Amino acid sequence: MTNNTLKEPAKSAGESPALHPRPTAGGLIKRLLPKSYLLLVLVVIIVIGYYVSADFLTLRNAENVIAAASIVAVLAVGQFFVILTGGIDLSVGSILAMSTVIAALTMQAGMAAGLSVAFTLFCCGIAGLVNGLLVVWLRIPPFIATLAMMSAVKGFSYIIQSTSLIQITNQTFIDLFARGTTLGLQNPVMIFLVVMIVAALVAKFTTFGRSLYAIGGNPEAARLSGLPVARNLLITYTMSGLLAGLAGLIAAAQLRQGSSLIGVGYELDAIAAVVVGGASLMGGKGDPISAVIGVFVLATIINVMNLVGISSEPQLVIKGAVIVVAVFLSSAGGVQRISGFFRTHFGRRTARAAS
Amino acid sequence: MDELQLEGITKGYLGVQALKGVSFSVKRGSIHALAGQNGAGKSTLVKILSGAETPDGGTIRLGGEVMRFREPTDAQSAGIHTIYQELSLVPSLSVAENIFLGTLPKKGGVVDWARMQAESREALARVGFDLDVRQPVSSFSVAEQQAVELAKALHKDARVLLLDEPTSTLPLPDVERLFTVLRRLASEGVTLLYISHRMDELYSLCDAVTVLRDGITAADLTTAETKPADVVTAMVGKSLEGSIADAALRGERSPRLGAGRTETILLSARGLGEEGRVEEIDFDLYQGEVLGISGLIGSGQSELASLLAGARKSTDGHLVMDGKTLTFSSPRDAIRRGIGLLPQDRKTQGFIPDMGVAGNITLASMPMFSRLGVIDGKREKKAAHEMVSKLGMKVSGVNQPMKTLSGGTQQKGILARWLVRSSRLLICDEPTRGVDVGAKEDMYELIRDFARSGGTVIIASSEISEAMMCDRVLVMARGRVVAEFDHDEIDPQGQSILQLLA
Repeated sequence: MTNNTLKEPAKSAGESPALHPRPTAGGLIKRLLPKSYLLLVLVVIIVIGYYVSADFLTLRNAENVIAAASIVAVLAVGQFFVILTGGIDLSVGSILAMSTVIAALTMQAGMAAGLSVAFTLFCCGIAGLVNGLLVVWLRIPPFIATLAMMSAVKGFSYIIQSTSLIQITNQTFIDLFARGTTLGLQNPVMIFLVVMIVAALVAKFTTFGRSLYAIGGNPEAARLSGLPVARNLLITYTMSGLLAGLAGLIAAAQLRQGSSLIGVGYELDAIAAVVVGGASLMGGKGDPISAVIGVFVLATIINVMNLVGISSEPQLVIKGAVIVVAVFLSSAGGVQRISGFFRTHFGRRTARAAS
Repeated sequence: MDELQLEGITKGYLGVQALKGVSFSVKRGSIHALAGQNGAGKSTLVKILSGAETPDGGTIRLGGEVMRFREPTDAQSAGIHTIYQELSLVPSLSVAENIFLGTLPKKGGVVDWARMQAESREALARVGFDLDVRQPVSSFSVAEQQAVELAKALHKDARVLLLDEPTSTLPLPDVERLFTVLRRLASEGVTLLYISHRMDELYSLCDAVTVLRDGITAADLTTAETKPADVVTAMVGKSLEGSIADAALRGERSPRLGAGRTETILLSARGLGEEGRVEEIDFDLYQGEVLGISGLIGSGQSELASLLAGARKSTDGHLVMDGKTLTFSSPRDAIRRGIGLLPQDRKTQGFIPDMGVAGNITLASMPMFSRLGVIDGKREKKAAHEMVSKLGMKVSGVNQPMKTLSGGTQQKGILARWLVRSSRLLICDEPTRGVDVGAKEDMYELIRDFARSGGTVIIASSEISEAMMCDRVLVMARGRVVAEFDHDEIDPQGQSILQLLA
């Protein structure tokens, strides 16, 4: 008797097959939808750009957009991992500035480019590690911890900089991070592509990436499953610091200077790009490639507006609107809600007509 | 006279018909139970009656009048109040402020505190409680907070009270007290619609039972003329008589789950304790044994389970396992020793909602499915498929997000997490809380299979029926083990345990 009853409840537990999406073509499309909406937004912007400006769809302009976006793209990848764990890193803009200052200072003092790069990245990694320690050890909420670091790091780079800006003249460095090309691609573009692809592979195929999704999705369940939550959080914040440092090197080489005033507001651009890319600030969702697409959605819009001569204040308003629309479509279930709205509206009308 | 009449209520969500035409009526001043498995449509019906959702079709009559609720406030002003499982009070506000939430009495533009407090005390007295209404709600126990919620509904002239599993978080003595209050309210003419998974409660409290199954009314029964097995039969659509769940539902002694213990000691606790929670726990756990830790909610059985699984840190004593003296400082330590925990609260402790079934199953054993930190997707999928078919999990694929599964299937997924890494000891903390009858039976069968194949199980539970399935039971009260019973020493009604609990 007991054995007979084993199967019956299992059957009734799945009483509504419609609840469980079948792996049909429709289901597959549905699963890919958020990402494709994001690409759709990007395509729409490009089409608009093509119509409003003859200069938009040219190779030179494309190069400009991508080179400018590569800094934020590298930041966004680091930011993505932090946001994936349910945290946030407000200090990346300041760490980026510190990176330019340290690189400029060390090269001014005659350090070789390679050594200077290594030292700069090390310092930025330490700054990220401090973020991690504040969050993991002192249990300070990520928002507060990285807000404090944003201020502290900015002050620190201002102090060590001591003049208004430091010129960078080291040609090896400038070639490495700005002017040079590898395999026909500008180095900054190559850097962000490599960062993005490695990040995507890490997120999808490694135990580390998997555990970040788990930590962000449900920290307590992750802990109870024996995942090294503290260690992985430390690695994540350190990585975000390192990537901010790398982005800083690109910025320093492009601007040929180190200054604590570089990168103001970049952290917000990176966060905006990550959420436009469909990640949730609650953690556990998204992927690095979408975050980078998010960067390009925002960068392309700015570019189009620059080309048609919209001044910078209206640009900010439009940028804000685009963030809202993109997030609504990609992660807030906007598409379902819009179709649901029409359905109930339509449904009610027929019900009324029937009665 | 019928106070509440439902006729042909239908409600569909995108692609799912949750209610396919539910009709029943509730007599004025009666306590009417609503039963059904998870997914039968109970919660949708509650949402419709409380105004949180609008039905697609059908009519609701209150006192003979057709009602149309567009918002929760519509239902409330008509006199239908809902008391949810998770209480909806504002913890930082005082009791009086909570009772008057949204309707603060005013005198000359300022809040009339004196009147508010007097009326709050009156409303509380109606439910048999006397609390300091100036204290914040958060300073009171769950039972007292529930009383505040009831008082709040009564204060707003509730005609119909919807109670959604009000006893699921309540200690036993408070359950009796709640029932007394509910009976008195019914005698005063308030109509109660009572939702619960516990058959003994339905039969001791309610006058009639409506059973929902797959969105339709499966049965309308009066408790005086039927027995709990009839309700269960209507719920699952098939007779469960003779099964473990049936025995558990009827509160009778069940066949034991385990195959009996061996002579090898797997784990020993010596003077184990956590300050203020549990004290001086000593016991030996034998290989292959199913050990119950029984106690009322808050007696420490859940905390003890967490200590044994490393989920909490012990402050006193130690464990002995494999001849070594151990103290677990994290779940990781316990997992390495082959201990797996089925946590009490699935949603907040159990699974990663957006992650697929496979990812959730291999979460605790990623090193087994990876090389140099890279996950072997093929092997992971294969293992997940094996678990899904072995445990009879209802999923569309191993990548289906965990949050879209039913409660019972989720629980199986968490169990699979420990089976896949061949854990030696499974610690279940309230393994069947919030799962419906069918899934309960499944859980018992799976625990039995695990025990019979040589695994060792600890079941921490506040349900007597679950204690009675174990080979041996430790009874806990106020953080200490107060008695130990062998399976055969427990009388069929579990009275020997119940006496110790109070």
